[in-house]
Amino acid sequence: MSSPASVEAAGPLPFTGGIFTVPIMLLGLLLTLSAFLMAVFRKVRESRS
Amino acid sequence: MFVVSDASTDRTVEVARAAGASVLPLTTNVGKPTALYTLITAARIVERFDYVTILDDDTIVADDFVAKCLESFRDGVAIVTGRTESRRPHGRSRLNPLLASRAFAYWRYQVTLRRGQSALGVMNCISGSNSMFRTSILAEVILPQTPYIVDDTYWTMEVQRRKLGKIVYAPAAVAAVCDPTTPRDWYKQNLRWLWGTFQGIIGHRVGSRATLFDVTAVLLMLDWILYVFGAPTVIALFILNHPFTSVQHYVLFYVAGLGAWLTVASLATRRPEIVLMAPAIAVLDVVYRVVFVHAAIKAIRRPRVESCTWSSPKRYA
Repeated sequence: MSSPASVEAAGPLPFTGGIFTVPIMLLGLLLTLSAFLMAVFRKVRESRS
Repeated sequence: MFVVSDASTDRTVEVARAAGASVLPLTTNVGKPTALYTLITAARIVERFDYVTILDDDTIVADDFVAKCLESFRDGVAIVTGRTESRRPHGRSRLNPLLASRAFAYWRYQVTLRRGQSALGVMNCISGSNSMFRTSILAEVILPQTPYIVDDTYWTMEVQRRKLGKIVYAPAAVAAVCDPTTPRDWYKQNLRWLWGTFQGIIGHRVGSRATLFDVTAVLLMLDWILYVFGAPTVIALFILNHPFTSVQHYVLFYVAGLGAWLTVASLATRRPEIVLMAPAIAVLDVVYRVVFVHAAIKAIRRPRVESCTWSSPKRYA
């Protein structure tokens, strides 16, 4: 298995990394959250129908 | 299913054959890139198939892994990389801090940076253990021997540099991998991954061109510098009595940040051991800075390799 070098370094803000890549990380987080919410809405809709 | 046994000393060949795979047994240990190249050439994978998933022997993919990867193969996509999870250990191993730390690291990296990089088309790494390739693109980048210790780093850099296609992350395609369970294996694996990453940066001159990929890669490198030297700098300033430095505030901020991340990670991955192992994860976070420096020195001294053989971490059931 080989994997991202930045795996352990994408850390808590700010002193363990994440200042310069904040926009990229936030974009990723936003996409993750929206995918999560979409999945929740889908489940709710399915359970109602 | 094709399996290449890189001179395995266990029952890999026998077990794979019994499971119905076409097996290519090599008698000499040549390393992963050469073994893969030999198999792909011998089985004429590029000529016979449009896509190929390359998996490591420690990887267990979800039943719909291939289907989920294929969904992401829109026009112009060269590589789809799946979501990596640290395989759930059983019994007392659940409290292994190395595994908890890795489970946390995968989760954190993938919900933030990897997803963002994928959306922008600037991914700087893929998971060598669980990625799917368009074979026509793989044919362009695969070599009998990659110059970097991590083969998929070379492929990633080539795809980005030569603009061969997009590299995307498919979070719905899930794969579980075995991670190191001993400090020695953990250190060695991280060192190899980071060494390969730095070799890629040096070899492909990442940061030397005015592209979005280079700009975002440089930002990532600046973050690494901050990560490695941030805490020692704060401590040094405190010792020197710098008026604007407060170690108490730094520690408080660090603990709060790490605590928040670990709590969310525990809930999202349903692994309470992540938050229970918080102190150990904080210690590993410090050691990882040492690995970073070690790997950078190693890459400067050996920017290329002639052989990609290494010993894998011990596997667990």
